[in-house]
Formats: sequence, C-alpha cells, structure tokens
Amino acid sequence: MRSLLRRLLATLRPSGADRDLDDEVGFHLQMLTDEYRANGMSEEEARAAARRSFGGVEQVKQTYRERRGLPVFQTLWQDIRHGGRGLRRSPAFTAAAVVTLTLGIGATAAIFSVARAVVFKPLPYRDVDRRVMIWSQWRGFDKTWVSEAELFDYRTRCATLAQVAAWGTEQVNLTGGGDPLRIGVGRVTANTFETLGVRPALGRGFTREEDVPGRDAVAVISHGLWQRHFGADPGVLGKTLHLDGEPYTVVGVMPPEFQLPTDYGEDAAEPTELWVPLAINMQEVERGSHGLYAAAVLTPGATAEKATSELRALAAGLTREGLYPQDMKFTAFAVGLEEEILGNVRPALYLLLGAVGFLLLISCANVASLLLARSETRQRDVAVRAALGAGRARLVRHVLTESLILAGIGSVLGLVVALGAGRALAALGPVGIPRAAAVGVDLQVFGFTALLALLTTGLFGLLPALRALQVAPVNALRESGGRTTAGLAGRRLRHALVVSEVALAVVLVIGAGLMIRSLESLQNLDLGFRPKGVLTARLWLPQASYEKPEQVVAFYQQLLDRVRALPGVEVAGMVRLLPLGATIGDWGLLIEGDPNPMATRAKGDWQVASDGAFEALGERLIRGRLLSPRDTTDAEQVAVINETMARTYWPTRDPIGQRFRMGRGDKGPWVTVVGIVGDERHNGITAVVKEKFYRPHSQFHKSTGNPARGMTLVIRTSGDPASLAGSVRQVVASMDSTLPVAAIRPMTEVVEASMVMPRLTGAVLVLFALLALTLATVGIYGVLSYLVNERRHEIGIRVAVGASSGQVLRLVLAHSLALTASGLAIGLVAAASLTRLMSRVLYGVQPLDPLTFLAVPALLAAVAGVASYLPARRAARIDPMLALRVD
Amino acid sequence: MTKEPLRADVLQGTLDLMVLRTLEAMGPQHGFGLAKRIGQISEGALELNQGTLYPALLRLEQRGWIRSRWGVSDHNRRAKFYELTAGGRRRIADEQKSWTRTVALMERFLRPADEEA
Repeated sequence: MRSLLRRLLATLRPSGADRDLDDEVGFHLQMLTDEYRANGMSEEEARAAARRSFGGVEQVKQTYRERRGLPVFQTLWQDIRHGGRGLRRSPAFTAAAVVTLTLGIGATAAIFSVARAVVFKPLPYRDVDRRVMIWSQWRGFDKTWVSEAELFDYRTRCATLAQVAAWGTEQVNLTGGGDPLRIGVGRVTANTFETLGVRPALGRGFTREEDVPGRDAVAVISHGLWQRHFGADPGVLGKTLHLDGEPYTVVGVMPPEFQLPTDYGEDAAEPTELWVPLAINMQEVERGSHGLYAAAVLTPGATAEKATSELRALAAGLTREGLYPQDMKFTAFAVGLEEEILGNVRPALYLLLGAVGFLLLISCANVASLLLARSETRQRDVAVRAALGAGRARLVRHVLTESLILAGIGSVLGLVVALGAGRALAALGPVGIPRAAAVGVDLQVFGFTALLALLTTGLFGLLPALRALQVAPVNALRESGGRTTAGLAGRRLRHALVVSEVALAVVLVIGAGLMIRSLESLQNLDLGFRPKGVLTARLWLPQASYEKPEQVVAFYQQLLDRVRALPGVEVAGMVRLLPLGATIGDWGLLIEGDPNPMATRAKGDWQVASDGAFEALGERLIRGRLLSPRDTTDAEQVAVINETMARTYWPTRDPIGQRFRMGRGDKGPWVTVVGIVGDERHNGITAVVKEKFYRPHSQFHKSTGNPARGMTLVIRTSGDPASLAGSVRQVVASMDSTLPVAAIRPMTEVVEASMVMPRLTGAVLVLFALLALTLATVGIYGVLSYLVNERRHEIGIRVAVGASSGQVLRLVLAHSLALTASGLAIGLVAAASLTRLMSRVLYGVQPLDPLTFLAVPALLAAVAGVASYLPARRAARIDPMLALRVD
Repeated sequence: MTKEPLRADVLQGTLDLMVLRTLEAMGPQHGFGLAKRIGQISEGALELNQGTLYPALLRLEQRGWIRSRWGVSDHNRRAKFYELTAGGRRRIADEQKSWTRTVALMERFLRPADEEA
C-alpha cells in the first residue's frame, strides 16, 4: 500500500525525481572514473571504463523510471507526452483543430453560461411553480392591470387561489442621508412577500394593520439599497427615510436576490428597490381604474390553467352582474410565475442553445475529418506499432489521447471565450434580458465545459481511433506510400462528414437568415417618431415642495425655457411617458354627441405633453396643429389625438373640433381635438397601437385635479445628444438642487433596449452562421484536397490518356457538387421542420420564408464551389509524368 | 575469469538480500560503495552491471526496507546514502531463515547424484 502511494506520488512529480536519479548515477560514474584514473588510466579511458562497469546508463534509468511510477499512469503520461509531441510536430493541423474546437466549445460554453444565469438558475421565489401572476384582458387590451375591487373578488371568490397579493410601482425621490436618489418603489399589499414565498433577510415584512391608509409610513428596502445608501448598517431598522418628502420608518431588508416579478419585465429599466404598504382605502375601493399587478398562490392541486378557467368564469359573472359593460369583454387569466418572467427569453435562448449545438457538431465533424486525414497518412506508423505488438487498446488510447489533448486545449480557450462573452453581455446590461448581469463562468459552466471536452473527444476522436484499429498491419505495410486507394471505408466516412457539415450549416444559415429578415422587418417598422439625435431625462416634482399644480406647471415651463436656451438644442419639450421607455395606460373617455354606444365606453392612452415635444420626438402631424405655447392653463382645453383614436371614435366625421371628456362622469371640462398625429409605437416595438391622446401639461390638472409631476424631457440636438447631459443636469440643479435627474439617455438607447433580445439573438445567430459557413468551407476544401492528392495517380493516368485539364476540373467539381447537393437536401429538409420552432422569435417573416430558403442553398453552393475550386485547379494541373512517377 | 559468472538478473531475490546484508554489515552507504563492496565479497563471481543496483535499491526503498537521504561522501561530493530500516532488519532475518532452508533442501537433492558420479 505504501509502495503504491509512493509510486503514485512519484508519477505526479517525475521531473525532480529524474534529477535525483541523474545526480545519483553521475556520482557513481564519477567515483568509478576517479578509481580507474587512480589506477593509471587517462581521463578518457577511465570514463569509458566507468561506463562499461556501470552498464547501459539509459537502460538503467528507464528500468528505474518504470519501477518508480505506476504502469497505468506511466503509459497515460507517456501517451500524453507522445501525443503532445505529435501535435507539436504538425503545428498546422494542431492549430486548425484547436481553433475549430475553441470556436465550437467556446460558443457552446458562452451560450450555456447565459442560459444558466438567465433561464436555468432558479428564480428567487420558493415553490415557483405554485405561484402565478393574474392579468386582466378586455377589448383592445391583451394583458393589463387589475383593479382594487378585482383583487378582493379574487381573494374571496376563487377556489384555486390561496392568497392574492397586488402591487403598483412608481418612481420617487429618496432623500435623507446621501445624495437625493430617484428610485423605483413598489406599493405592495401586506401579503405580497409571503405570496411570493420570500422572507426579509433582516427585520420583518408588513403587517395587515400597517396596510391601511394613515398607518402605512413603514418601508422595506432592497439589499442593494441597504448596502449603497445605508452602508449595510444592521442598525438601519427603525431609521427614518423620506420618500418625496414624506417620512417612512425602515422595518426590513430583503435578501440580495429579491425582486418583484415585474422588475424582470415591465420595470426592468428601473426596478423597485424599496417597498411600502399599498394601503387600499376600503371606503373607496376602485373597480374601474386598473393599475395594479397581481400575484397569487395556487391551492393544492390547482394549476394556472384551472385558475384561468375559474377567473374567466368569475369575470363573466361580474359582467352579468353589471359591473362591467358587456361590450368591454372583460376577463382575466393567470400565468405561471416562471412563464411570466422567463417566457419571453426562453424561446430565444433555447433557439441559441440549439444553434450552438449545431455549430459544435460542425466543428466536431471538421476536426474528425482532419484527424482522419492525419491518421491515414500515419497508417504505416500505426501498422508498424501494431506489428511490433502494441495492443489494440493501447493503439486506440494513443489516438484518443491526442484527441483529448486537443479537446482539453479547446475547452480551456473556450472557457476564456465564454468568460469574455459573459463580461461583454453584462457590460451591455441589456434591459430586455432578466438577470443578464449575473452571466458568468461558475462551477456549473466549468463542469459543463469539462463535459463538453469529453463529449467532443468522443464525437470527433472515436471514429478515427476505430479506423486506426481496422488497419490490418500486413496490408498497410504492403501498401507503399498510400498510392493504392486508402480504403473505401475511410473515404465514405470523410464524405459522410462533409455531407453532415453542409447539412448542419444549411440549417444554421437558414436560421440566421430568418432572423435577419425578421430584424429587417423590425428595422423597417414605422416607429412613428425619429429617435436619432434626441436626449431624454426624467424628473419628478415631490408634492412636499411643489404642492400646487401651478407650481408644477411653472417649474416645468421655466425648465423648458432654460433647456431651450442651451447651445446645441434645436427643439425641446417633455412627455409624461417616453414611447418604448415606459408602459402607457388608458383613461376612460366620454365622446361628445356620439350615439355610437361603443364611444361611450371609450378609452384612450393618456399622454401629457408640452409644446415642442412632438417636434423633438419627430412625430408626424397628419392634420390640424400640434400643441403650442398658447395652450396655457386657462386657454381653451385642447388635445392632440393619434390616427387610431381618430379612426375609432370619429370614423365618419372630421375629429378636428370635436370634443371629449376625461372620465365618464360629468366632471371636468370638455376637451377639443385640435390635431391628429401619426400612430407611434409605445408599449413595445411590436405591440398593437391603441387609441391615444395628448393633453398639454399646462392644462392636464384642469381635467384631473392633479398635475403631471413626473415628466421626461425630450431634447433634439444638432450634435451628439449625450454631450448635452451635463448641462441639462446643471440647469436642473440650478433650479432645485434636491431634484434627482433620472435616466439621462439618448432616445436611440431607449429604442435599442426594446429590441435587445431580437437584436442579440440575431447577431449571435449570424455569427454562428458565419462560423458554420467558414468551418464547412474549410471542411469541403480539406476533404477535396485530400481526395485530389489521393487520386493524383488516377488523374495522372487520365491526363496521360488524353483527358483535358477542363475535364479534370469538372471531374473534381462534380464530386464536390454531389457531396454539397446531398448536404443541401438533408439540410433543407431538416431546416423546414426546425424553423417552425422559431416562430415565437420571428416578426414579419414566415418560418418557411421562400426568399431565405432559396438564397441560403445558393449561398452554400457558391461557397462550396469556391472551396472546391482550388483543389480542382490543382488536380487539373497535375503533371502526368510526376504523378505516375510517385514512389 | 575461471568460474562461470552469475548473471545478476537471475538472482534478483539474492541481490536484494546481498544489499540488505551489506548495509547491515557496513551501516549507511551510497550506491557506489555498495556496488564496490558487493563486488569485493563476490570476488568476481558476480558479474554485476553496477547500474543494476539502482532499480533494486528503489524497490527495497518502496517496500520500506531501506531509506535514503542525501549526504556528503568521503570525497566531499553530494551522494545519496542508503540505510537499513527496522523492517529491513526483520526482513534479513526472515530471508536468512528461508535461504538456509532452501540451501538445505537443494543440498539434499544434489548430494546423491554427486555420490553416484
């Protein structure tokens, strides 16, 4: 046992032991030499005599080494060293194989690391599959908020729902302590944390007694805010902070990974970091105004589907009770929490995982064919070793070790690639991808990559290894220089590899082609505004310091005046909610004098805007006029509407000059339509455009009583919009130094963020497709070169008996074409069945898009032609004399 | 050389015993000293390639019968010295017994044949 341990240790550190042995033998030889010299021999004679006495120095050392280590490890180590030597001796082959494997393994590890962080890692909610989100749905609204009254209906009247929580989100100014901070705040029902299955890490959540107006001045903060703003002080509990000037007492800190489900999606740009009780006023429970998100725990045995059917039945009942108009088609549904958060990114990531699998297969096929070509040139070497008695297992192991070394190097470099990709993605910080910042190489990714190394070794190394075995020593030795055909089996194998490479490449390139077409449709989509050259910045005026509507209006007026005076500003305005930057909700409307009952149920997305806002955003005026500085608070109450609203509520009349009222009661002034602007995308780049109206900021409070406190500046500049950020901050600070300015960013960034998933998916797929094309090209080139070399004798004979160089060229090209055509056929069939899986990530293009399915095979055929031309030309130039003389 | 020399590899077990005995008799010794001593004692009857000694020393060390450390020789050179362990001493006793038995046994077989001749 002790002997075993020592030998194992010796195997692991052979170099030091080798030096020891050298020293010991050296000492021995020196002593012998000394002795012989003392006997009167010359230095040279003495040294020779010493060597004779000692015996074969190298033999002794070898015996000693074999005795020292364990035979199994010894041969493994020998194989590795031998393999390493072999690889070093053919640097071109090694470089080609390593680069190919690095690309394949690196891309796979990178995509896996993203999928792991974004999709595979569990969400921070206990028993996530028992939890659902609840949404409302009605005419024109596929998926929208629930109202307070509905929350209580669901709590009391649904057998499938054990607990129902609700929350609303907004941005507030946090003061006290360091710099004023603009943060996302969630107003949550007391049971929200419990419903999500999360407990505060420090302190407590809210009690039901605190979830009541007047007693709700308590707050729970996020782990991040606790660390950033409160220096991770455990004594934070009981401290007071100010939200928009109102004091709140901190009662709890949530665990680091906690987020509200909406923070992954709707609020991802500005996730909530602080939570206070929702404190619904039980005296005035709202049914008509929908503004809450809702989540629930399923009762045992219930599923999201069962909950949905129950909710639909309940909604129908509520409509029958007369609580909702019939033609509103009000209903509600439940979505599993995981599906809710990850449903949007899953298809794209699965698509990428599939695609990268194809890429990995292609690189394996390529390396396999490289190894095959190499093993065939080494057949004699293998045959000699077999003839000398090397066991079959030893031969296979030898070839496999070489493959394993290649895969090992490829994996290490691949991990570096994955690490870089993760860093890049995190640096990009795409808002549309939940948990993108957490992408990195962890133990699982590491293990996965190690597994990939083994798997790929099996994939690309085993075939050549088994081929090596089939070499009958006698035949291989008899074949001189491989002039006779190197074996039909080997050629078939290489052909199969090329065909599958082409087929795999076809599928990948078609996938990428579809994504490009889809992106093209997205790009050509009319946004309704021109984002280029526009800077945006958000502000919020707290009630505590700007109590009266007039103060708010005056502040913003003055701010706009000062911003417009800045050098480089062409036109500036402001809107309540930025298109594609924040979700816009609707307001119930009363259309004047319309007998159409539909119109009395009218709703419109409510935008608040200033003069200059349309011009700054580059919106299109269809008819009438835009808002102007003359639309003051006390002037005629006006609105601009979008085309959809014009079409829906005044289908037969000219909307200009028509009037509507915000709210369905008889409160509030009539508002006159003065202009129509083109539809713009607001709630998402591909979301349906709904009816929308724009009220002047100066007049908005006349309709609702409250001014719009939170506004986003939109500033069109002549130069780079980002360069203006500093002066905009200065202007705000000069007016009120306690006001934080949030989300200063170019409008292009806002638009980019809404397209990040399709863009990233597209970019990555295109990259993969290019790699696949390159690998396939190299594969075709390699196999054809080999083929030409192998058949140079035969071609030489053909030329000798009169074949023209054109005929030879055609011969080789035809061969390549046959291979490519088989690959194309298989690839097209596979692509046709696989692209259906892409339909969820495609926009404006069919999975069987004819253009893509025609263009891609043509492209591949062209690429294959180019790849085969060089070998074909070489074949055509074969000198028959030289070819025949070979040997 | 008048006698037919013994080849060392035929006598692997015996070489082990020779090394152990020599170490017991001489105390700590380096490989060269051991080789020389064994050569002297065998009086040329053992044609030992001196290098053969080293794998044997390694084997004995791996079995825990001898141990080695680097030291300085009489000529002030760095050399590796081998010495007997307690296990090695026990081993010599065992080997001696079994050797004596083997010799006695072999003698019994060989004697009658000699007499007849």
